[in-house]
Amino acid sequence: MTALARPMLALLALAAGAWLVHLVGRALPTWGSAIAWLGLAAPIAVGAARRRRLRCAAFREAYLAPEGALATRFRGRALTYVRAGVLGGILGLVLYAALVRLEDEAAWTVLVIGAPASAAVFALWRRALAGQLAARYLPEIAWRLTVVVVGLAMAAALVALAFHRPYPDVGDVDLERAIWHFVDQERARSAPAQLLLQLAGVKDGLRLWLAQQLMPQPGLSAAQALGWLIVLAEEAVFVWSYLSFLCPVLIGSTKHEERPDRAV
Amino acid sequence: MKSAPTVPFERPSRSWAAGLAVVAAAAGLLSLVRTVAPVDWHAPETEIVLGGIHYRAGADDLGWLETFTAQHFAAGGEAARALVVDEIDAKLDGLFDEAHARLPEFLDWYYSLRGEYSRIAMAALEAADLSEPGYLAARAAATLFPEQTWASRLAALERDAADRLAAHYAGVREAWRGEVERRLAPRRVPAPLAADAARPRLVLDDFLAETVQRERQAFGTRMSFGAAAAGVGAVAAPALARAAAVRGGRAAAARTAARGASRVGAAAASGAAVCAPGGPVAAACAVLAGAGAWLVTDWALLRLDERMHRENLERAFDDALRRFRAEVERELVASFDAAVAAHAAAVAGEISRSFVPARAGRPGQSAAAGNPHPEDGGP
Repeated sequence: MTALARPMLALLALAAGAWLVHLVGRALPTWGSAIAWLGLAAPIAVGAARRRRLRCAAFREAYLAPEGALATRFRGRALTYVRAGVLGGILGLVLYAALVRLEDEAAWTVLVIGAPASAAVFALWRRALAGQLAARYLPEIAWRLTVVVVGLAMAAALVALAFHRPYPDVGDVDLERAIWHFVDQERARSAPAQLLLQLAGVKDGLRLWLAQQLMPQPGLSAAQALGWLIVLAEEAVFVWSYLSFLCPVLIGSTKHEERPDRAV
Repeated sequence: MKSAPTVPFERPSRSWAAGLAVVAAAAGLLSLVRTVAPVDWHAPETEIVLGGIHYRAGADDLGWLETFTAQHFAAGGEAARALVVDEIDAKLDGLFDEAHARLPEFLDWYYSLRGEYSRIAMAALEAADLSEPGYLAARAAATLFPEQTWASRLAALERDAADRLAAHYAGVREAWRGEVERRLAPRRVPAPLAADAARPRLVLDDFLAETVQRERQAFGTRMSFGAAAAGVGAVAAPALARAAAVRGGRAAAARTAARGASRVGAAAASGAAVCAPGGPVAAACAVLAGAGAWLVTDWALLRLDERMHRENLERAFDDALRRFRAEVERELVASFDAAVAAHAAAVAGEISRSFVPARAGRPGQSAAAGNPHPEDGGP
């Protein structure tokens, strides 16, 4: 097994986990939904914490004396994990709702292909930048560039799919009915999960109603197309959450990279 | 200054086997994504439409709704029966009070010479098979219940009863609607943009419309009441005939026996006495005197008969009228009862049919499975 194939397979396993959430997310009891949410939030939190510690290590190495009090304070411990946990929890909820509600097979194809593609792009960036960047900061920069490249590609694909997806006509109905239409579609065995899905439905209803009130039909007009692109830009948030979910596999353990004597 | 650590490049796809494993894993996952449908969760809530307003009802609300609907309309049917009995009773009171008020008129005719000779003439025609039997009863029926009055009063009774029933059932429906709306008010939802095929749907507006339609069918047409359909003579005469036969027959027999002995002798004696010195006009005088004596005798006997038997005859007709009233009331109540019962059965059947989709929404009973809607929002 090569060094590249291993993270690719690991990312495919994570993508399969995300698909399992989509598969059974509506039928899970509350405790099952909580476990699924933790399964999504934990990798995001771990990835965020590792990246934060990498940045702290780079900051310490660049600006602080190794034995100074500030270096001890900037090791990035409790606060790092708290912030990562909060971020992971929030993005985990976003990801849970989005994965469960993602019915489009083409969109799932994008997610599945995006997982190994992230590993490939990450490896390419590391290879390309290895001679230019400090080894401690290389994974972070490679990850950021990977997010930009893969994230933009995935977001573009998802936006294109969303752009051509049929939507109900809510141009002639009031906001309450429009929102209710989307809320009403959401069903889940777990009441908290259903509430989460319904909140996502509220967001969809509000977004589509505003879009159809302001821009009655998507057309060839550049302004209208731009408006729809803004409306559908939420796909970027979803892609960011998904890539954050994949992040810890690529970033790997950073403990050895935080210590200069064991740096790679 | 310490140099930055170098990162050895990990060459991608060094092994074809590893690459194939990645491709196979991705292809397998994509295949699963395309073939395996997510597990859907059908909410057991049923969509209820009442007065154009949409509600969502869970199993408890549905159970209550079906039970309440059945009990409410059954109680409405029972109340309708009591209401019909009251209405019929009140209307028949008026009709038969008038009949009782006309009874002296009939008895006056009965104890008049005109009545006497009419009965004798009709009896003779009846004996010669030139007339239908039961003249006295028919005459009593015609006097006590004038044909136009009888028909119009019965028609009014049917119409008023039907109107009261219609108002009653409208009240039953409104009370039902008010209670259901009060109970479901917290479950009100906006109207959906499109019907959800996977969700059980109970349109109570259709149920109410069907109930109204069945009510029109049950009470909109005239009752198949024999008394109203047939003339009064056909229904009242047989009931009055018994009274006429008991008292009239006995009185007539007594009078006939008395007349047999007295009329001829009295007429002959009168004729002989009055016209004895008459000469050529003696014969005519004797006939006139005899006829006069005949009439006077009849009149005297009628007065005697009236004095002796009028009260008994009046009592007999009173009893006959009471029996006839009970018979008419029984037939009318039975007729309306049948309509009310048929309507109640139709409503019960409609409740049973209407609540089929609602029952499908309860736990343990599967709802029709549906596919996700294409218009469902994405992430």
